[in-house]
Amino acid sequence: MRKSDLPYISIKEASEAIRSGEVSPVELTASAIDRIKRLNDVLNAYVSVFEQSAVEEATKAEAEIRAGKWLGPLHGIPLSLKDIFYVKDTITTAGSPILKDFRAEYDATAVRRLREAGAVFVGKTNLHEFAYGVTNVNPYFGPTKNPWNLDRITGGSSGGSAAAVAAGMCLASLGTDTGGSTRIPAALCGIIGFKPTYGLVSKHGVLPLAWSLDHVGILARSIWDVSILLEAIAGYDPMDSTTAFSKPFEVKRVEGLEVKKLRVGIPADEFLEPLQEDVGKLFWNSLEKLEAEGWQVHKLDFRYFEHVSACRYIVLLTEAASFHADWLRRSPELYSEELRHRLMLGLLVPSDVYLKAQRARKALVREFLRAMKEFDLIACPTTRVTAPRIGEEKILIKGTELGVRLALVRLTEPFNALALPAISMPCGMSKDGLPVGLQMVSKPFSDDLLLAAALAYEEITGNRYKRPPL
Amino acid sequence: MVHESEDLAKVIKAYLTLLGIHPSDEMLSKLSRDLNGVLKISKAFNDVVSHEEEPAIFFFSKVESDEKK
Repeated sequence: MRKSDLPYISIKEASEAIRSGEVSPVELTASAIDRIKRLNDVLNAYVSVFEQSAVEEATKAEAEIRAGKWLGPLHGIPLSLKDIFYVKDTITTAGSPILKDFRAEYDATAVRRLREAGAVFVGKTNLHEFAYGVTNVNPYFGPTKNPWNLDRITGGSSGGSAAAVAAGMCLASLGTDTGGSTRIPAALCGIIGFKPTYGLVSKHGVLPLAWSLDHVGILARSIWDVSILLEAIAGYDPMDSTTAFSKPFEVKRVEGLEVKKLRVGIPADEFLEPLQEDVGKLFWNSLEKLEAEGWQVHKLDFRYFEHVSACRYIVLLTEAASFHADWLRRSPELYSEELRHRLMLGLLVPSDVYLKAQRARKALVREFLRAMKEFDLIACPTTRVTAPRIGEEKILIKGTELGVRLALVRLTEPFNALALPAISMPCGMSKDGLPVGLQMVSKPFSDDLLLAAALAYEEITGNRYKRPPL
Repeated sequence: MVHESEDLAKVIKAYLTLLGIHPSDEMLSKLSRDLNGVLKISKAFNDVVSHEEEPAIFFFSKVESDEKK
């Protein structure tokens, strides 16, 4: 293995190389930190770098492995965390000056579980202000830049994590996803972004945006890497009352599943369109390849996507406003004008409207699962467009002018309100050299089937992570 | 229509002031417009919500009973 390849290897390759002694955790961590030092001024992916503690953790991992105490495939692997996860004794800003001095007293459960699996944390990544938005143009820390084109956004709100993973500044990262915040930046940066079933992964120690929509997400460069991270962090947590008593997630279940001839539902054009020409073309090309391998692709009969989006909008407005009300009262000037407006609007939503949205949500979940009965998966593009320019507010697609937010979030947000597992995978490159993402969604707690299908998709289509020209 | 919108802006201002939040006039008019939008959107829920429908609950009862121990 060449040293220049180290920043880009998968966790699987890194783990095998560590076990065989070909690479040490200290070398691997140093390579990620070197890459951060070289690229962070350009990309603005990290808001804090844990150089000293990362080297200490890697040194400890190396000693343990040498002493025969290998903890598993994450032992000695350098990861990053969106700056919304609590890490004991370090600052968690959530991308806002309001929390510039907030030092967490404990590790988030997901962080603790990764630490117990031997992972090394190299730093915390930039995000949209309080994770409330999808561009990652942060008014406090500045925009994160897309590794494929520095004039373009990464998407967000886990945009720093996506840029870091795409550019080899860590091997994988944890993000969050309330309407697409893991899948959107993954699609725009050409990596994999996975949001598990609601309740599979604990959110304890993750600063909330909207409790009933928030999910911990995983950003990585291969499906196996996503699976191994999920195995480490999934499962019931007494500190998070929304976690479920599901069977523990195991990578071997993904590897053992038979996924030939899967039945794939495609939402109607009213939901999908308008799509940028290259996005549509690459999506349909990928589906043709799957069909050629025996996958059955049919239209999904579900007419209520608009209703699901409306539910998510109202729930998001209201829950976020409830969480932020005290800070908004005390320090309104510390919010961007856009966020201040959204939070004030959320405070005005009548309780009847919020509860009706939650009641509608229950009926819509039932209706969606009924429509999914004939299918194993749903597939659609992750976003309607490739990465917009930094500062761009409107985009023209096939003669229709759309706001950037809507163009990015419309195809991902329903699956937060429906609490379903969803994944974005690379689906090729547009003519102007920007990544396109394909999203697949499965039924509640069918995360293993979804990842097995994603693995098969990778093999059939050949659509995998590519290195950006940095 | 103009009166309704002005009335709504007054209600919004009074309510937010009560909460200790003081929006600018420009923001008030935007809030009034967007709140109208929210209320309009929410009418669509009548298509799918029956009278008996309960809200989506994402808290698992077993956990709640564990916490009481």
